[in-house]
Amino acid sequence: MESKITKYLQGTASPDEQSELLKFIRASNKNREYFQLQKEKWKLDSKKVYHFRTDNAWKEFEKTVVLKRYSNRKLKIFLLTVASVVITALCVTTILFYSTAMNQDVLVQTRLKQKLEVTLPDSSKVILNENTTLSYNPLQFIFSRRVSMEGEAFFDIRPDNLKFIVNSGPINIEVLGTKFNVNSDSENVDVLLEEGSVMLTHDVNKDFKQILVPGELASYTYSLNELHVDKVTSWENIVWSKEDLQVKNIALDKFFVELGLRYGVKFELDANDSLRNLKVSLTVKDDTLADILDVIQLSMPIVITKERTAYKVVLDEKRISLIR
Amino acid sequence: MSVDKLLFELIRKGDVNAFEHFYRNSYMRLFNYVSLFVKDEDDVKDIVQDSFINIWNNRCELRLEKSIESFVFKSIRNRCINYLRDKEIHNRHLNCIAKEIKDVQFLSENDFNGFEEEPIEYLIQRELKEACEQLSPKCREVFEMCKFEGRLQKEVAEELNISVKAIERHISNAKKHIRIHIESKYPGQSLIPAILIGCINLPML
Repeated sequence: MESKITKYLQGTASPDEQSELLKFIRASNKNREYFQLQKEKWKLDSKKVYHFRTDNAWKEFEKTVVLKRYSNRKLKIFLLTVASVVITALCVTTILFYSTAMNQDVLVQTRLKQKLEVTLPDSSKVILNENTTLSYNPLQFIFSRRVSMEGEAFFDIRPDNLKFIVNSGPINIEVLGTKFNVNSDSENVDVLLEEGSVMLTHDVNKDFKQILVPGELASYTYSLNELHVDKVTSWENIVWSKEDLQVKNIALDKFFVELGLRYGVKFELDANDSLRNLKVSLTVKDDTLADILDVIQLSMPIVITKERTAYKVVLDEKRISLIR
Repeated sequence: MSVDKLLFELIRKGDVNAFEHFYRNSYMRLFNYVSLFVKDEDDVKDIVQDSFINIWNNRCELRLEKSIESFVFKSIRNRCINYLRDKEIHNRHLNCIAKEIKDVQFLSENDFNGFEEEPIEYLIQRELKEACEQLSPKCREVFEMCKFEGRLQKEVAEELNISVKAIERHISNAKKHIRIHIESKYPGQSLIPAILIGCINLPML
């Protein structure tokens, strides 16, 4: 019986032998215990040979489960470690970057006799006149276009759905896209609008609202806490922000057209060919219109007189005759 | 502590050598047991291998109430039942007449369980019938006419005055129900079906 049990355990017993073994086990409890005992003995026998199927199946099992599982687990642990390190580093840098970036404003300052053109992150242009400070937060600028300034600056705001706000002292200038000049010192805030429209609001007084149209100059006085709006007759106030006008040997009529555009005034020339064909070479900076007219009158034989709507330019016959 | 219990503890802790010892000692006996019911050798290998893989993957959930041999035996027996069920309901004509009972299966039951259970052949028939009784009357009528009596779908459709499509639908419903019924009673996938079923019913946290 012992050999039959061993054969059964090894998986090589024939059906008849198995039936015989079943009969043997069913016969009595003693036999059943004997079978169990033989089984335990066989299990602990280290010299036994396994069926070839067992070896093949175990190799298969090892390949699909045990080895894969171990390599998987190692890879998993490694990936988890890498991931946690990366995430922690990312979090830390984000927090550090965010907290520093939130507190770090960009500050642009011009010295005496220095002009500077600044391009903001939204590609709006700001031209700073001398002794001017402009500051903004580049991170917050993405969500709200807001800048602060002290001094004089000319703004050329790129149109966008997002409001652009210039803060100067207690006055806020809210715009969508325009060109305007702001000049502020310790007593006044002046806003001159060239193009588009702007709305002025006050930091404290929430009811305060003033809309400007092109050519209007709003002047706020700190001491009076008052705002005056005037119509300007020329662009003299914002000439500083423009490029120098350089002319070389051009006809006088063409020169006055350009000068008129620059200062926002009109010139009327006498219908005289010798006047119109006079040649002029000149560089115009941000001087006042009166200074320029003086210089032109001194250097050329012409007379300029101011009339109601325009400047009249005529030939100075006396000087012409003297030259001749 | 007996050798079996020590082995059990080691396997629970993930000791591959202990599992190899257990695997090698029981593989051929289980292989021969499954061969009694499953004719295709590759299917036999798959059933045995899958059971071992299942035991290994769920080794942490093993409980010491029974021997590991009885666990793996139960798992393999359930897999056999499910395999035979699928084979049965795929046949055009269900073979419900009691087949010859293979006596040798009791040797394995004595060996692994220490007692004898109902022979698998009877069990399958009983469960099939039980599952059929739970079907809706129409579904059951169609299923029994087609599968138990072995009649053609077209014939049955004409007799019951319904479309062949409806017959097909009834049969597929019945098959699905039988599959679920037997699978839930004799789970081959997991050692602890109650826990799994409980998990499925729980809402996602």
